[in-house]
Amino acid sequence: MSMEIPYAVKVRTDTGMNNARLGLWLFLGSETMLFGGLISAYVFLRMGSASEQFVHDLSEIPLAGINTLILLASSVAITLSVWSLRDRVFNRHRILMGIAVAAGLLFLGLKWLDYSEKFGRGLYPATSTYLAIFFTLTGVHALHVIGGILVNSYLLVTGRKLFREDPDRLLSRVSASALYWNFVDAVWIVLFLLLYVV
Amino acid sequence: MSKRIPYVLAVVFFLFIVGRTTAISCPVCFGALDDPATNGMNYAIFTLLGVTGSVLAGFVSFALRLRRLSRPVAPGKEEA
Repeated sequence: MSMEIPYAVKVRTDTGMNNARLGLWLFLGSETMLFGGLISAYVFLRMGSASEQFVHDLSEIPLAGINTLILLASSVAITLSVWSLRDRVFNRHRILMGIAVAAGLLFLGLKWLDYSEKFGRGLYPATSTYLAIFFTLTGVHALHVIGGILVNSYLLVTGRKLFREDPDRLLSRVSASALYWNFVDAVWIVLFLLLYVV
Repeated sequence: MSKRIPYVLAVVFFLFIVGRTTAISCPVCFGALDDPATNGMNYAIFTLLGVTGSVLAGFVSFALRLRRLSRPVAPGKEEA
């Protein structure tokens, strides 16, 4: 016996959104607290140490800048894919979702290059306070990117069947996933500014 | 046996206090206002307050939104 979860797709009149979106907003609230705590630790370590003890290598800015542009492009792609699904143009949605997933993978690839280059120079989390918090912040963010890629890939693979059966349900899922992906992108922009620019 | 635990703890605490000749604390606990660690802690606290405040503001705005949206729904006319 199967049970239909109420308001998983249909918008509630009292909250103005469906339960999937509401649940995701609550999840993003907890995620904000997680990254807020880590960023607060970064601020403590950075402000609490002398400048010569907290050296960060500015030569990585080009690579990190390219990664930022890639993640921004993936955010644009996934937002356009939601709009395509809203217009019931499945093929365009699929291509754009594929671009978003590919951009996420490219981001991880470049991040891995960045890590490999650091490990090659003997720079590990235990090397310095800056590297400890750098690897923690970027590593936790990379885990979130991996999670987003897995969910988006699942939606990409199973989307056609669901689109035929219940397009509104697919739209609800893709919208929720896009919201999460945009959040991950926004977190990266904050990390980019903190770790590489400021 | 359990009745002896407070006495044992008191003796351990007494020995801990008496046995020490110097008290050691970090600059934050000690209250060294000019120390970078104290400065860093202050900035970290304000950062976390900002993040927590933003999340709480989100919850408050959602509660206000619920109040606003629930007004037009007349009693007995809610959707099933």
